[in-house]
Amino acid sequence: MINRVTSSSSSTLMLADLGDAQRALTDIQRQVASGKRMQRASDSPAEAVATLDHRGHLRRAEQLDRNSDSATQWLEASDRTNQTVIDQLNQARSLVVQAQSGANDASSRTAIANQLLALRQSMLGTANSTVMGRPLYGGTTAATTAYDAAGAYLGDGGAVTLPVNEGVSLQVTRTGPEVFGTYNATTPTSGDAFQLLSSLAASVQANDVSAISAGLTQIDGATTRVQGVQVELGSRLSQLEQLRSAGAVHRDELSASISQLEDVDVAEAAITLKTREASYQAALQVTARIIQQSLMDFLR
Amino acid sequence: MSDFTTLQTALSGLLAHRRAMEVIGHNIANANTDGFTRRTLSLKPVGSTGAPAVFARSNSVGEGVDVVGVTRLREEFLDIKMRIALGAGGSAGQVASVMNQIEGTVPEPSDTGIAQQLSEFSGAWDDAAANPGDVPIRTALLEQGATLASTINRTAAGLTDIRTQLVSQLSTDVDQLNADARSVAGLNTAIIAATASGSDASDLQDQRDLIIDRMGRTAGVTTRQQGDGSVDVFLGGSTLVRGGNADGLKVVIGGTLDPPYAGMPLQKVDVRWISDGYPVNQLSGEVAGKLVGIDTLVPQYLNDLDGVASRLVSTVNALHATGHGLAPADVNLNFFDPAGTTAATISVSTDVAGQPSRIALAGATGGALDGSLGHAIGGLVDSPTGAGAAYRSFIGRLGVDTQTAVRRSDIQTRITTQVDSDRKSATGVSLDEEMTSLVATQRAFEASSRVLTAVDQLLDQLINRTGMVGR
Repeated sequence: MINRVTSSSSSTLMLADLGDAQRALTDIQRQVASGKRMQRASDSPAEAVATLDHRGHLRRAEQLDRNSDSATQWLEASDRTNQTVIDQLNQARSLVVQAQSGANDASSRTAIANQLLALRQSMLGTANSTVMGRPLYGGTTAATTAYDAAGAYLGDGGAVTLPVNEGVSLQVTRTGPEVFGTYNATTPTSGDAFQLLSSLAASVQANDVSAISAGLTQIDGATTRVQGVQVELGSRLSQLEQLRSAGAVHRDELSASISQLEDVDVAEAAITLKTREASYQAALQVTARIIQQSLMDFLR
Repeated sequence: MSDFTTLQTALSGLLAHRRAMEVIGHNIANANTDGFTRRTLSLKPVGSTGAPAVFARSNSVGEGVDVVGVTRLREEFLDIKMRIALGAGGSAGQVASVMNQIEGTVPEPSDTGIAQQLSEFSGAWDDAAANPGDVPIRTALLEQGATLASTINRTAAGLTDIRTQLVSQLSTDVDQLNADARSVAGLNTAIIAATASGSDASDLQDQRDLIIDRMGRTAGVTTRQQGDGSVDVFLGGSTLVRGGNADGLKVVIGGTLDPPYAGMPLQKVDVRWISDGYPVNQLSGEVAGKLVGIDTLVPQYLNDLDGVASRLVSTVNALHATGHGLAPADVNLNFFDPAGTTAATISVSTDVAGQPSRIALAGATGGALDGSLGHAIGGLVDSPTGAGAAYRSFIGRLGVDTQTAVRRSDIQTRITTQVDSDRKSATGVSLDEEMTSLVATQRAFEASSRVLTAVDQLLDQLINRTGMVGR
């Protein structure tokens, strides 16, 4: 009974086959037109989840790269100002050496003392450098400057750290006391750099030879402290550069994987499109031929 | 045997083949009619006598042909197969369509979906944490949070809309099924009457089969042919149509969903018998597919999305409450409203809405411009226990389920097509076959009339030319 072929049974099967062929054709056409292999997650669930995962990591990596931009700004600003502070301390040192030579009269000592006070003032200006509107040496304070005009520290001890890579956070600056030393109310000579310069100016004015020579050692100590910070942050800057170039490679790899998962291989898709087009046309032609055939063409 | 008997024999042949030609004409005319079953004319030879008496002898060869009736060439086995296939296909197709709709509400992978917004949200925390004193950047973070919340709200609303539409379509389906049941009952009555009076009920039967097919696609029915020509229709073992009487179904909305979705604020939807109010067992067809969508699929994915939302709210709030805003006094604040832990209700908390400076970016011990907490929250979404991972597994499960549903539906469609083709090859009209029968019938008609002519000539010889010797 099943071997009996009727026009409706054959048209049912032919329509189903033509529908399949047309669906396959539309599918590949959409892929070629959109350039995407996956239109929805159900086209390939495992790959869809993988690509979502990669996209998430890629966006996180891009965010970390933006964080690295900020970190670079902070570190470069720190490096620059630390160098300025070192230069200023060196100037102070040569002034103190000059004062030590003993061939100075009262007026030249006054001049040296005034220069030391001017240096203190400009160092205070350097200490109030800002980066992105924030005091560089102020820690996490909301104050607009790290030191007030009198040289008192306004900031806090908070560390500014930025996540720059998966699991890597860098501290990008040091607080004022870490760079300039801690304020000492009782013995100004062992206090911070600003106290030191004021007390040295006073000693030069008073021609206190022992205090002047002790000040020389103290200036050297202050310089060493700033240099330590500079070396630390400088090495962090080079570490950051390495992390960023590794991050760039990682992002490229992620983009490549995403493209591999999502994008159509154009050559392959074009060939598949042509093949399916040809088979659809063949199916249409054959169907048209068969439907035309009837016994009536042959009966007289 | 009289000489005129052969005339009657020839006449019966003429009449029978005229009738056969009518049947062929009807078949050809209905070659493309949906649900039409081809017919043939059943003929039987007319014997001279019935059972001859003992020792009686008869040299009669028969007295022509008689029309027994019109036979409808229906394969009941294929009908049963077809209705099972239609029920399974209707259910699988409906589930696939629901899954496609659900997938359509979360278009992933894309550059606009929730995954992208989660990443942008996490990026906004990092951007704000890098510049904690910058209020416009904090405002941008707040906006990003609100956008993410409203996208999740919209997706939940999309899922709920799918459910609402399914419920209204289900009512339409059930109404259609009830109307069909009444039509079948009415046709049963008409067919019983026609069969009793001996008239041809084939066209009524075709119409009834067509309606029962539709009921099969809607709800997966089974049938049993009765002796009086009526067909009883069953649904899950209970009677939907018996003879001229039809029961019906109704959609009942109310009560909580079955576990594990009992706690969701959605009402259970059920299909019950009108007569006794019991639920319908073993439903299949589109009604069953819609019920699965309404009571299982949509709640399931809504529940998954709720999981993503509550994960987002709990992880972000837990960290957020430990820190402080720009003013050190702004502590113990929530970023998301702790009351809105479902996808439909997630929103930015009133603690921070419109007050970007209150967003906690600083850790408990940090200064006002500390960003450590903000960076920590920024890393939350992509952590293995974060909302991003929950969302990805949601998308993965949805993708696999949709793929499975679509494949199952494709397979069922193929089976239905094959059974449909088998049935059409058994019951459909083959024009070649009808043409052949037409030729044979035409020839038989010609031959019968030739017999008539021959007998006529015989009688002419006998009547007009016999006994004329010597004239």
